Amino acid sequence: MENVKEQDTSLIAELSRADSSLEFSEDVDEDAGVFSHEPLIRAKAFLLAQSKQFRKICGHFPPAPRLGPGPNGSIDLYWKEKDWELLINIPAESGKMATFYGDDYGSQKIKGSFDPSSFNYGIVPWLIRN
Amino acid sequence: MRAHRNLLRDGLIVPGVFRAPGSGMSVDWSKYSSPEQARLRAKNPFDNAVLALIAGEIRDKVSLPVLHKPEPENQSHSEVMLPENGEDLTEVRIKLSRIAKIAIPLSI
Repeated sequence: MENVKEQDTSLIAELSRADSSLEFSEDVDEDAGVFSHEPLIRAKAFLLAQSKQFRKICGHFPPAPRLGPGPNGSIDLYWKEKDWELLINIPAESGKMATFYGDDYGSQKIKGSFDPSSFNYGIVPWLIRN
Repeated sequence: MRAHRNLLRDGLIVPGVFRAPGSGMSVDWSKYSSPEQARLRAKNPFDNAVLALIAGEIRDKVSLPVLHKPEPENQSHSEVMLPENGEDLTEVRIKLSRIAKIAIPLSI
C-alpha cells in the first residue's frame, strides 16, 4: 500500500524559510522588501487551509509557492511552473481582498479577487495542472 | 532598475521586485546611466542586482506607460506607471518579471 504523506513538507519548508526571513526584517534599507508579521500570519493560514482542502479533493498536496514580500507590506505567493504561472497577493490590511493572476503562457488566464480567509475553489484547477 | 537581494529568489526574478511607493516605479534610462551607475545609487550597492527592461516591451507587452522624469542628481531617472487596481497590479507584475533580464547579478 502506498505510503500517503500526512504533511505538506514542501509548504512547511517554505513557511519556515519565510519565518527565518522575518527575523532579519528590521535591519534593512529602504530598497529591501521585508515580510510584515501580520500579513505573513494570514498568508500562512490561507496556504495551510488551502493545502489541507486541496488534499481532500485531489488526494495529494498542491505544489508549494514561493513566499515573498509584495508591494506595500503585502505578501506574494508565487508559483512558476513549466506550463503555468500564478501569483496571489495577500494584502497588508486585514479584511481586504486578495488578488490573483495566472496564465498558461498562452491564451488561458485567470484573474480576480477573493477573501483569503476562506478556501478558494477557483484556483484549484490551476494547481492541479502541475 | 535595482533589485534588492531580499526580493530575488534563487536567481529568479520574482514579481515582488516590481513595486513603487506611489504609482511610479523608479527605473534608470540606459541612455544616461550604465547598470553599474544604477547599482551605485543604492544605499547598499552590493545588496542589489540590476535588472534590464526594454521600454518598448513594457509599453507593448505589458501596456504600461514609461516616462522620463529626470532629477537634478540623476538625469536617467524614469518611471514605469503601475496600475492602482490590485488585480491589474498583480497581473502586470507577473508580466514584468517575464520581460526583465539580469544586467548585474547579486554579488556573492
